[in-house]
Amino acid sequence: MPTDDLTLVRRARSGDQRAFGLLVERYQKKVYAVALGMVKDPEEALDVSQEAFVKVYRYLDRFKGDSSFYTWLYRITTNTCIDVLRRRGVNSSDSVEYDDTVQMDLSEASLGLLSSQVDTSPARSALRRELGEKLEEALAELPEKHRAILLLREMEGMSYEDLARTLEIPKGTVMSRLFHARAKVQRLLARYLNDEPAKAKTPLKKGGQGSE
Amino acid sequence: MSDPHCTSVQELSAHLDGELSVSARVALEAHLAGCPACRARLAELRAVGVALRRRFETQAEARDFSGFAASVLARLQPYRPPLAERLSVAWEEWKTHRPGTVLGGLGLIAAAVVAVLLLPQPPRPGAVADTGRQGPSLEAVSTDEQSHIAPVVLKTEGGDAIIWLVDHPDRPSLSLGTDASVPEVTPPAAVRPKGGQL
Repeated sequence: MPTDDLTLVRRARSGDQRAFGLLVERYQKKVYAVALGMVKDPEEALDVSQEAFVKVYRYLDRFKGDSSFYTWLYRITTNTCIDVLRRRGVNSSDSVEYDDTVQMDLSEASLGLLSSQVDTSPARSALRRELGEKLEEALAELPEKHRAILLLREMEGMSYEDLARTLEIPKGTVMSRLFHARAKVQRLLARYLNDEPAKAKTPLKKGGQGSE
Repeated sequence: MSDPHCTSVQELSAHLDGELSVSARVALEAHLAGCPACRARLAELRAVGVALRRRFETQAEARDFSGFAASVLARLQPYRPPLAERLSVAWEEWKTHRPGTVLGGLGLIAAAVVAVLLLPQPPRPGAVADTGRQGPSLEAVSTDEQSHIAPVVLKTEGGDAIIWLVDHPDRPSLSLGTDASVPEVTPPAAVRPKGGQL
């Protein structure tokens, strides 16, 4: 029977580095996967993951134990990733729209991933093959906060409540932020699908449903 | 084109996550039963999520994490090698240098150090190579976590024991207030290693 997180945390807090090592081993791959989605570069993701665990250790005293360890761990992870991204300065969230009022029409952005067998257009087949790759690109174009919430939800299956705790936002914000993140990803993928690689790289313009 | 009676995309998103209220879910499922377009949209949302998860999980699985935890632990104390390593280095020094350097390398405080060295035969220059004896090697290191002055026991292959009493590295010294990184330290004159020259 594996030792539960809180017990390991308690031991680690009193100086048991072996217990802390076990915690690291338990979560290393998951943390890495999220970091990879956030910062894209594998080596940077590895470095950021280690940095996150170092911070966890240093701030162990601050973990009150009233929430689950893993939401606390992911909070540190995403914040560390966001710091890295901001230092990079490449994908500034200011340049991409965050428009609450636009009702996204999903049908326009329909990817046809699950379309019937008759649809054998080359573009759609190619997209299916390259979906993973295009997804990474689409993710990289999201503002950091949208990226983070989407990754935590899809990779970890975090409930809205845990997402709210992890990201320190109200539960209502979780719902709308996730929706916006998904909508953006769908739109970006639809652009790739429409076979306009140049356009797909440009950020979505303000106030519109995207410049088609 | 989208049917105005169709569900909002935000609802589909919440439904995908199982976060709709019971009544909202029931209403949505009723709608989905009769609306292929919304079913398709929901399925697509799900497919993208699955693909995203698979993408990064696969890469994480493919990565070798065998040294990861060790690297994290190494980052925790950047300037201080572990005690065992310091002692091992110190032991190498002992074999060739004055004990002063040895003790200095451990960062010990003079008055707190007692070294008792037991050897089965006196070492002679070159004897190590001739007899084929390696000399005592660092077999085991143990510290008593509770004590302020910690006994450190080096066990050798031959069953000899070298016992150091060291000021515990992470606890402040009782009496002296001298800097723990004093480079040159000699043991008190009353104590001499037995069994031969140094």
